[in-house]
Amino acid sequence: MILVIAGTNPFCFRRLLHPMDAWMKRTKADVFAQIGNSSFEPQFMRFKRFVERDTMLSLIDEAEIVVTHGGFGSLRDCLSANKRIVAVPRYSCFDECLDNQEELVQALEKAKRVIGVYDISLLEDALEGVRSFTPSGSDMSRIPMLIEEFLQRCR
Amino acid sequence: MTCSAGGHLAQARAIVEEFRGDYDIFFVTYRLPHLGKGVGNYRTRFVTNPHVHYPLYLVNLLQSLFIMVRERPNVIISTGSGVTIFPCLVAKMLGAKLFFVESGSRVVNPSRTGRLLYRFADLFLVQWPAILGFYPKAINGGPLL
Repeated sequence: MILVIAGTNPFCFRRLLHPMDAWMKRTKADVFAQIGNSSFEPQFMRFKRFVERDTMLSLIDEAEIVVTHGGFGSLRDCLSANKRIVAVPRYSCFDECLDNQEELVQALEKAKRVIGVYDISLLEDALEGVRSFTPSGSDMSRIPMLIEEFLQRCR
Repeated sequence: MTCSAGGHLAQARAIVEEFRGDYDIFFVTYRLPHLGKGVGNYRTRFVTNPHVHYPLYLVNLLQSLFIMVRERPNVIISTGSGVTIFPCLVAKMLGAKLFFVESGSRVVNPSRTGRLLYRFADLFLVQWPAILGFYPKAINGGPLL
């Protein structure tokens, strides 16, 4: 199953959802999309606007490949499940978000943890390429530990 | 803990879920349908989201005063964004230490909330090294990913 994630961002992400829907119609792939706040409703993909967090984690677990917007929360969930990820950042100039997601996707692509798609015409190439992609792992963040160290000093 | 929705909330949860110690934690955020009574099993106090309409910052300030006078936290930790500004400043004014975690989506460009709260923070953490240029006193802890 290929999972598409648009997250909880208040903006519509038609630029990703429309070509994914068309691709699904052509290839007959098994695709499920969490479409979020979208005025576009897929005609061919199975979809829901939002799902409970537990359901999202199960869907990610079940998916062979995840195609996600570049939101931090969505990327975090997919990375922690060690999935093959195609990340498509939203751009504010296309009215897809308030803050661009490009920086984060580029940083993760540089760290070989996702395949980034910045020009949507390259989406299908990425969907092919990700099948043979092995994501790199990463070290845990030291942020919780640093915070706890400072909390001890505040006691 | 104070945070906005989406990735900011995910980062706040990622932090508390990794804590080894036992702390009396409550959340301050704005109400979203999927949050229900609160963030997970944590006590949650709701403030208005001023991002949708800037005059709401005044409402947010009054709510923050009410919450922080009652709760008197020792420490306030924010993962951004704008909804957390007044909770942080009010708590700090009432004697709390302020910890700020710049969003992990900020790799090279700082956030407005981060730049505003930097001078007030007792601990300022970033998640990517390139952004240390904007925050010389910050510590890079690596991304919460």
